[in-house]
Amino acid sequence: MIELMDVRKVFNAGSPSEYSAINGVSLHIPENKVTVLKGPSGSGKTTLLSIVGCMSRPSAGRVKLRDREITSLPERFLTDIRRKTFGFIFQQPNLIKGLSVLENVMLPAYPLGEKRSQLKLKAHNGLQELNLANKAASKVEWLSGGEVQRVSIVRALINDPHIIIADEPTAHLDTKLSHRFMEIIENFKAHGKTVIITSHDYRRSALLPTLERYLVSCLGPLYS
Amino acid sequence: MSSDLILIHEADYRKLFGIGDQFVTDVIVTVNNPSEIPTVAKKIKKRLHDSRPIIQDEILRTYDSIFNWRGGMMIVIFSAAVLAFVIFAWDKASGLSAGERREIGILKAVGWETSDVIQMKFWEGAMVSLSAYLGGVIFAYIHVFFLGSAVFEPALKGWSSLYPRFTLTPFINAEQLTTLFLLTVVPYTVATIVPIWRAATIDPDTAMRHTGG
Repeated sequence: MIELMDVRKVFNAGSPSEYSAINGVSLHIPENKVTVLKGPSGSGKTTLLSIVGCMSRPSAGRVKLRDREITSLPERFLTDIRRKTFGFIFQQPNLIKGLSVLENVMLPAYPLGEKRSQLKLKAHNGLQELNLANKAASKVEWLSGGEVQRVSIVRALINDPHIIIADEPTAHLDTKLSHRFMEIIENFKAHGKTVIITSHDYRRSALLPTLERYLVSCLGPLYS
Repeated sequence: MSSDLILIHEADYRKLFGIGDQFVTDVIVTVNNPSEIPTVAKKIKKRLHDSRPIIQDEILRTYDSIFNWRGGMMIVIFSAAVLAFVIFAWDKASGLSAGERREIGILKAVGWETSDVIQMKFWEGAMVSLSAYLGGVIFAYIHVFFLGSAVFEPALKGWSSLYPRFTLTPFINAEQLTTLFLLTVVPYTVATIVPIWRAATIDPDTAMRHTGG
């Protein structure tokens, strides 16, 4: 489904602070499976996810999504792919301060032009699913770390994406909520979705006993 | 003729106020030698204690001071306000805060197009500047026409320098309002858009990374 061929990402190219975040990664991410990218902190997992999710372009190499080369697509096409295909759960929750929980959850759906009433209902249902319905009107800066992470999960799912990209999704969740999140992931898989997760903590990824795992170290040679 | 002025014949005036022919309210004294004017004024005051001699130069100086240095004072205040606006607009135009860049990165990451972000920020900037503009205009209208310009009145009209008291008739000058709109709302909105456009055209990952957050 997603194929990376000899992908490199260099930051601050040409300056003294130039560094290579990922160096020649080739990877095949299959459809309808849960893929876990495992590696130590700073190994380039987040960078790799941002390239997979069309949030940044590789410095070299090629990226294919469903056999379509997307490496050099113009920005507006990448945005279109991003909004229709991916749901992101970031390492940092990346919610917009000053907006309510409900408004943050609805953000990805605004550009699609859905009716506001339907959108609200969908967002409320999502919040209900993760026990956040009573926080819908709260400002996000008032939430605890775990609540923020759950809001970020609901936001990622609002557009019913085909591919869920989650960067250390359980980092701020307690064991109970981590298991709940994994149930959601399992549910996705059951509905034919593709999930890509990064984790630096093997014990966390071990929370997926029934799911296929493709463990990848971004620093060294790939293995699965 | 107007709300504070009636023109009538002298005879009618005397009849209305019961002033006999031997009395007058104002006398104009012409002095051939200008250097003797202050002396003549002093002598009149000495002989007629109830009189108030006003020299033509004094009247000119009073009006000069009202419409020159007091006007100048208002220009200084106005200039300070304009300078504050320019600094504020420049600050908006020269770059975005880390939080704003991060916000743009998030919006793009969750599927907003560059044009969506610019459009949203345009309306945000337009709403801020338009609210400030309308608020300012309404406040100024009420202040000048209904409260008699209470804040600036002492500076503009002087301390009992102008008599009788007068109130301004409310009116709206479309040309002034348009000029003010073009000089405030439009530049501020443009100043808001430029850095947003610059930030919104980069990758969402880059926008979120360089924020320290």
